[in-house]
Amino acid sequence: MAEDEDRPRKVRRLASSKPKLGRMVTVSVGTGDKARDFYLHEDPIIEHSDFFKAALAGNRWQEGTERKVLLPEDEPEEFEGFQCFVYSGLTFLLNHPDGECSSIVHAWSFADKLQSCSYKDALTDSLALKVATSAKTPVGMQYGIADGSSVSAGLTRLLVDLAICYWTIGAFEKLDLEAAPKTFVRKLLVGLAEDRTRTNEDKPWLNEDCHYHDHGEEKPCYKTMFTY
Amino acid sequence: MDFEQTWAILASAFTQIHEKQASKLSFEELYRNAYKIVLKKKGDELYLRVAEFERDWLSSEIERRIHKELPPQLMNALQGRSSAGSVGDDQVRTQGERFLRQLKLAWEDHQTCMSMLTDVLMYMDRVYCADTRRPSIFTTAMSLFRDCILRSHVRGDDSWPDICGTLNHVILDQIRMERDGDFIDKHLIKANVYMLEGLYDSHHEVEEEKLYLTSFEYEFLASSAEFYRALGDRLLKESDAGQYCRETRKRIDEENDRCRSTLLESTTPKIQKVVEDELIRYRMKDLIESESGVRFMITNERHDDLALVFDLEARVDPRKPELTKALQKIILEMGTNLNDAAQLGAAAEAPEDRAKAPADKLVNQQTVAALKWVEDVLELKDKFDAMWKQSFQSDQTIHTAIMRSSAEFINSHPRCAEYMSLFIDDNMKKGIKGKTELEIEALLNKAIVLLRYVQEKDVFELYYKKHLGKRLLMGRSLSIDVEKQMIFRMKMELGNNFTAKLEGMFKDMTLSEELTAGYKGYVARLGDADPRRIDLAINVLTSMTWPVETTNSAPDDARESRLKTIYPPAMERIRQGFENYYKEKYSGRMLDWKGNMGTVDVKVTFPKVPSKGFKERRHELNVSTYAMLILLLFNDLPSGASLSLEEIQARTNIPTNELVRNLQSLAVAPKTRILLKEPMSKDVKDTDKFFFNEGFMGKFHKVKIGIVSAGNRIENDRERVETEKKNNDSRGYAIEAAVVRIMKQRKELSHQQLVTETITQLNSQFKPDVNMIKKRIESLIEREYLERIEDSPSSSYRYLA
Repeated sequence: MAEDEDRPRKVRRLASSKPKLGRMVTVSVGTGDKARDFYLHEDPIIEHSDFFKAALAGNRWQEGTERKVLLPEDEPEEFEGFQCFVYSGLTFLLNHPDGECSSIVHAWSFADKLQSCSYKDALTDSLALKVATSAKTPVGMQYGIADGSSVSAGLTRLLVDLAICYWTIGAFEKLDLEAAPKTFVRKLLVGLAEDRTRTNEDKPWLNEDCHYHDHGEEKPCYKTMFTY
Repeated sequence: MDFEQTWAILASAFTQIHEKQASKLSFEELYRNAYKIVLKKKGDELYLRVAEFERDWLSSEIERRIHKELPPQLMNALQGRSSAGSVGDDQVRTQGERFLRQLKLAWEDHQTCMSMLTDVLMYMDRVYCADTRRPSIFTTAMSLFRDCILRSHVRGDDSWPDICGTLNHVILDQIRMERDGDFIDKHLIKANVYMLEGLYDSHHEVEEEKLYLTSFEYEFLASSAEFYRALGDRLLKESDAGQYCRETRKRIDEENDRCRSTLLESTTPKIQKVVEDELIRYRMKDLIESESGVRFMITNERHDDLALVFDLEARVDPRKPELTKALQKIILEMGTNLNDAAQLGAAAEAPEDRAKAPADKLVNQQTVAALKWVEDVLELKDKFDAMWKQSFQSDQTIHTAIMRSSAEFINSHPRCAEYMSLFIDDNMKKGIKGKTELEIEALLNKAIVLLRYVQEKDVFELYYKKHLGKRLLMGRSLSIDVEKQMIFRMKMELGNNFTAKLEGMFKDMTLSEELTAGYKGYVARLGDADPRRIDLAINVLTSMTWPVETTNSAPDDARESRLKTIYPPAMERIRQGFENYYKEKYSGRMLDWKGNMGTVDVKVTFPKVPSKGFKERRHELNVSTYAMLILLLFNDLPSGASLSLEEIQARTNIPTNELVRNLQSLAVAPKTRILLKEPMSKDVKDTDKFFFNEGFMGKFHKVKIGIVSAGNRIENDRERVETEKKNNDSRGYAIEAAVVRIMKQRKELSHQQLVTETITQLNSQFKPDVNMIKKRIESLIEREYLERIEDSPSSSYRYLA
């Protein structure tokens, strides 16, 4: 359950409500010199990633028998971000050459690969928060989304909404139609058509609700998953 | 990324998975490859390739394994199901089980593999399938199992049922074996049932299209219906009804267990309905009416079996129509038998010209028969009450049925009201002697319960008044307290109106006691201390309250009753004395003396009779007032002189029939022959001569000379006609009163409504005859209480104030 924000977090808890940690698992990320091993508790990463859940289920796969998961094609830094989220519920972002927003989009793609709904939603919220608190609106984030990823993902929807609301004529002129995911462009056009009636007050990214989340009805919102 | 290359990696891994050698595979590698294909927008192709892969696998490898377990012998046995259960049953059974086992294995393997494939293809399911609204790969693979395996035909032969149909046959065959008492592998069947439960008839995954429902359950219910129809036939022929019920219960329980352990619980209500239909609903009538049915059970007190019958029918219909019908019929029959027996016991009425004494004997016999009838009715009622509690769970519907048919047969006895009153009368006079309070309480309750059944409450009231009157006046009641309790109960049951007059009778009795005592004191104060004075005990009865019979026993002798009875001077003085005393207390009231009702104690001295060696003897005789008047006449007569009947009547003015009766008890009854009659015969004729019997010999000092037929007994025909007439009169008044009451309130009413309301109002007293109501309305119109409304479409009336 989410803590009531007005009250300090209670330090005394019942033993029955202690966090489930489970056995340790090794996750080896990257190849060659850049390779790094992470040691994590099994229960939290299973809770936050359907990829790990499937990989470690019983003794079906090699990963399950050996208690080790190899992620040769991913970056250790991205995984570290996921690891930190799993233990804290917070997003810790890298300094991306294209700025913070682009690093959020990168991390989101990694979360999407791991099928971590909670991490994806937290990242989307981070982006919305960033936009809400900064004067300038970044424009190039859409290029970080793979064309084959989900059309209905919250992040895509947020990016479309932001573009409709903040993009200047110049930003539209500079849009690289080759590089931008087709799903994004199509959604943007539909959104613009719909948006001709929208008022300025209606900015869902300023609300702290589940508007851009992917968890749907079946999974919990990540905000309710971290109680410590 | 090259699709074909990537797919090759996946395809070879899938083969390993199907061959159960997956533990060396890296999930990450497979997942990553599938993930990349989807990111590159090749989800569509991947999806189709996987489906194709599964189709190949199922229709080559798996189909082969399944079909191998279906040798022609098994197929033939299942096809010609009529011959199943004969030769080679065991072998067919073993082969069937092997088939079930193989199918179960194939299904479970398919599920495991597909769940692994689903994990590998997670990204495809979540992104590609979700965005394009395709069913998940798992769902598609399950449909493939249905199409490639269940819908396949053995050796490609369409004339044999497909695997699905074969599966039904095998399962049904196994269930048949279990119903016949064999043991079968329930878990094995259940596993296959789960498979049918997990698959759908088409790609629409809706609840009603589950294969279990569309393919199996229907056939299961149909074959069960067939089985139980045959079983029902056999049981009805071979078993008695009790066994039938027990077997049915057992079968229902078995089917419940079967659904739980072998099939699905969702089938429970359906198969129950099949068994209930075949073994109960369609058979209940035959079962109940069979030789060993409900009648037999009731006769032989088979309470457990009756409970079973009740239980079974209650399952299929809360109104239990067949059992109720049967019970009503049986009660009515048993009741009618009682009625017939009572009529037989009462035998034919005595012809008018027969001698009095045997006629009286006959009347007594009839009274006994009447009492027996009431006892029998009570016994019958007790029997069914006990049955109701013991076997029918005190069920309300059954109770109503028992009540109704009891009321029906009781009221079909024309004299039930009279008999019930006689029954209470008998108990008040004899029955409660030596009984404990509890027993008396139970008896009173029984009486009230019976009373509840009697429809003609007014007739009952008439008889009760008559019987109670005699009990009170002749002091025949054993306990006034119990009498009052009875009245109280009637009041609770039937209301104040019913008991007002009865209570008045008790009040008169109490007042009379006070009057007697008061008069005694009054006389004493007058100073007339005549020692030879006659003691007087008096009962003053309010004429409207007491039944007319009590006050006038010879209504047909109207002329004679107008003549005043001549009392001897000593008596006449007392009569005058009391009348004066009474008028002082209550002015404006008329006292009418009832010589036929009173009794007198007289001291008689019988002279010495030397010829017979008798000494002088004194006796105290208790005789009726009239008998006393007759005896006094002989006081003044010389010894040996006689009086004729005519002379006696001239000197006393006693009504003829009373005179005859009193002379009979004085001169004919053998033990109390105070007078001698000439000629000596049982009949008393006008010319008969009477002498004082100087040679009377009594064993006791006190001799009670009863009046012939003075006790409460069954009415003879003439009396009954009288009672009926009186009752019809009082009903007429009650109807008129009700009509006027209703019209006064409603002002205008149609004929039909008026009749209906009148019947409703009077229902607690009696069931009014519609013709009588019509006549009464006519009479009220004549007397201008009502008028017809001229231009009304249906005939209607208006109240005239």
